[in-house]
Amino acid sequence: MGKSIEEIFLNLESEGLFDENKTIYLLDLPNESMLNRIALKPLENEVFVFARGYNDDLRIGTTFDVIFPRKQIDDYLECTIELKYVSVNPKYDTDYLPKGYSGICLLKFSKGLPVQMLSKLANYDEKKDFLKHDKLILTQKKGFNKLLNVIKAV
Amino acid sequence: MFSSIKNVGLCGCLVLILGVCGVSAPVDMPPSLLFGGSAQKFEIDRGLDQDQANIQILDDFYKSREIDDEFTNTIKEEIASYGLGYLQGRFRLGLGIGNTFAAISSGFCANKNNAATDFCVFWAQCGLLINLGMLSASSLDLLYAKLSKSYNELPKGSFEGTNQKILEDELDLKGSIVGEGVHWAGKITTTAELKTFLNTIDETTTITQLEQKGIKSFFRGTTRSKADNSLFPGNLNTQVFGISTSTDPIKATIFSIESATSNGAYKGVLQIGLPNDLKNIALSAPNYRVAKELEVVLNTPASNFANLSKVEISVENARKLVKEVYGVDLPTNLPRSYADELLETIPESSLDKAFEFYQKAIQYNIK
Repeated sequence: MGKSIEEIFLNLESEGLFDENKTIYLLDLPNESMLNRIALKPLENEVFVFARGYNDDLRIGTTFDVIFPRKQIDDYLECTIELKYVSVNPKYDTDYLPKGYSGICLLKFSKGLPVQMLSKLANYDEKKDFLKHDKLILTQKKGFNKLLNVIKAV
Repeated sequence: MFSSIKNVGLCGCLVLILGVCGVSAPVDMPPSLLFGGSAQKFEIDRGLDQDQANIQILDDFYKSREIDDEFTNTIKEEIASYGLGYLQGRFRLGLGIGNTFAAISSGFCANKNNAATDFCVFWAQCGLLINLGMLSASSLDLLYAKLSKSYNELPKGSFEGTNQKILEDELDLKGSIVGEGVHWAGKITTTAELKTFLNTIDETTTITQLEQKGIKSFFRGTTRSKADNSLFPGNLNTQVFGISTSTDPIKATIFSIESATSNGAYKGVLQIGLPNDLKNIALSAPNYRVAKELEVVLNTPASNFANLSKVEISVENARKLVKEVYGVDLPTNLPRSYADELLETIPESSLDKAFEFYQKAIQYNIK
């Protein structure tokens, strides 16, 4: 029996595929109480999410060009997504998402919000149902194409 | 409601002084002694005992503020039910928060805006009540509703932006506390209480206060170089804003496994600190996901925490103990996609179990 897509993904991830490409993982959606602590309000095509970057500090202004659900890689979308704002802690501001940290990030989607894709994210306070919910991964086409090629080859 | 400050009760001005001066009282000091001679005179003049005096202050205060009796009655009932000892118990933990309120209030007063000044005096009085230990979850609930309403009635632009944001934060913080029903007296007994309490930590909170709430051990999952055993110093954010620890050894072990998995040149370790060894370290407010990570942020370099920690064990032994104490079999490797999921799905440790983990970890200590 061949490897599942998930196993392939995890292998490539462990081998550092996403370390070579700016990548951010969307975990879930912040609750209203958290958002009330942030003066900024999302404009059109913008959304607040909880995100974590693993491979690098991610500066405001960083862009990604692919978004996909971790467990359904085929459902990917190509669009430019910009990191517009980061808040790791309600008591201070940073202009980047530090490596390894989770923070509230404001993302701007160039082609409109992918509502269906974003609906896979659970709310922060919600008990996660891993059949229904998923993480979303934002990365670069180069790295993503490599992932697709490996999957096709298996 | 805030048309004049002439009718503001005695306590408002006093707490402003207390808050600005950062005054604190010994734990067993009766609340009235906070006022020095003034409060005692107030009580003597009226022929009241201390509890009656507190109730009288509240009565006068709320009558002057044209606030209904519901809030006052709630506090009266609490005083009647629990007595002074109860108030003193809560007074200990309310102290830091109360002073914060008062300090914020004094900042607003400095703006010399009538509406803001009036509001800030009201706010300062809330600080006093918390300092006196006279606010519990139920009365905070009422207070919060009133504060929110009052705040929204104020003309926008009354405050400097920074102060306004601080006020919003504090209102929100109180709302969170009320919503989840934290009682300030006694030790934490449930994970829900722990999460809510951790969310209230800020730079005014002390390690000793955490210990009084039952937090007896702090866990940090990190890595050391396989080549020279040097400690991972944390990234720039850690170095500037403090290191993350957890009250939960399972979560800290997960972080250690994850860190070691993502960098083959490093080995995972779990460090465990005790309150008595860490008591001189300042705390910082937790990050947003405190409830998932049961996080306590210590404002100290990773190396200092490592030095002060009583115990350091290998991640392999940490896994073994997680299995022994909690019956949870953690994987030896954790791809980044799974670490966050595990944090969501594994059972959370009680504070007592966490301390048991520490006691068992001593046998594997490599320090």
